[in-house]
Amino acid sequence: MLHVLDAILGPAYFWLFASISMLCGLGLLLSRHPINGALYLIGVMLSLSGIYALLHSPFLAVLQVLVYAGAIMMLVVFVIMVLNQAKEHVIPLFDWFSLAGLILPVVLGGALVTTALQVKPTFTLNDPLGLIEAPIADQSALRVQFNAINAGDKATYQWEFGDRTSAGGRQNDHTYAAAGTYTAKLTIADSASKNGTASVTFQSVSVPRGEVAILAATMFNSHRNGPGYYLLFELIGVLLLAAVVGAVVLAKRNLDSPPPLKVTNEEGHH
Amino acid sequence: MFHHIALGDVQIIAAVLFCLGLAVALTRRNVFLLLMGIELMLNAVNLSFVGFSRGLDAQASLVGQMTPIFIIAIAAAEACVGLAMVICIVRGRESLDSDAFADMKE
Repeated sequence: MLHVLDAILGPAYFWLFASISMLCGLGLLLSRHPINGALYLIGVMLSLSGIYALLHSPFLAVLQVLVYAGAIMMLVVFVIMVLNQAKEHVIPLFDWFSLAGLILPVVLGGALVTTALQVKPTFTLNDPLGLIEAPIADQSALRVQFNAINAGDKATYQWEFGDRTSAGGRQNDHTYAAAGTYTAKLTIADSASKNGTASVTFQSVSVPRGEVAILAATMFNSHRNGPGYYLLFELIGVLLLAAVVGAVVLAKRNLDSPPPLKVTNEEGHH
Repeated sequence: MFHHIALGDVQIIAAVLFCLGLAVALTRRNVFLLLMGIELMLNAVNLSFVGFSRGLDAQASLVGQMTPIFIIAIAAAEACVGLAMVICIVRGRESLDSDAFADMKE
């Protein structure tokens, strides 16, 4: 029962945090006031902290909440309010010149995402004797299917997969534990005492296409996958967010401040 | 497998966040939004490091998790110095528009 819950909740939490972070990033881009942008950025940092916790980096998750969401963003919000930017006025969103600045991020983002989607593991076949047929790889799971040629009835096949595992048999279906460069080696001995070796290098490309287990137990459970206090830190972060929002609301309602600073694009400071 | 996610997806999210931060830093004129766009870019790079380190074995993975700690420390220092500079400049200029700071080059 608990395993089924983990299996459903783990990726759900990951995609929840991922969508929150990307939506908050979009909100930062389109925010009409620096204080709104700061709140959106705190949302990005808290959801990134959750992703770190799910990716088994607990110390970094805690540090993200403490230093980024706690210290840095509090400093930013404090300075915004000191400079009297919490009043009710909006800043210009885009003009035509700054819209041209959007071209570079859009092009860069498209190139990066298509690169990450298109990468495939590559093979180098070093096989002068022609013993190995072309391996078949399952990209998403680091699984490779190795086939040797038929060397007769009495031949024995010995595979070494390059990750300290070995197996016999003519056909083998091997799954590597992590992305990396492996040299698989095949030794065929037949009845006429002809020995031959051949190797195939399985080289994963820069973006690892492996999969990681994302279990919800890492966030709640204290004995199976490490301490389960990440959610507490997330709650502290949410409390911090509530405190910031409350401070902004109070400042807007109660303070009777002088008129705000100019933020328009006026010339004349030369 | 149902309870697994591909590590490439982490990199896609990191790329999207980086480009959002770059867009904020390039297009918005307000100095606070400029600084926050840079912070968002640094965060995206951290996420990329953690995602790559997850695909390595345990010892190499620690190195990938250590680099973001340095980045966080540098981001904290950058925020302190940057905000102090903003306060100093705004005192004299009465404006938070980054175009108002352009005559520093003269």
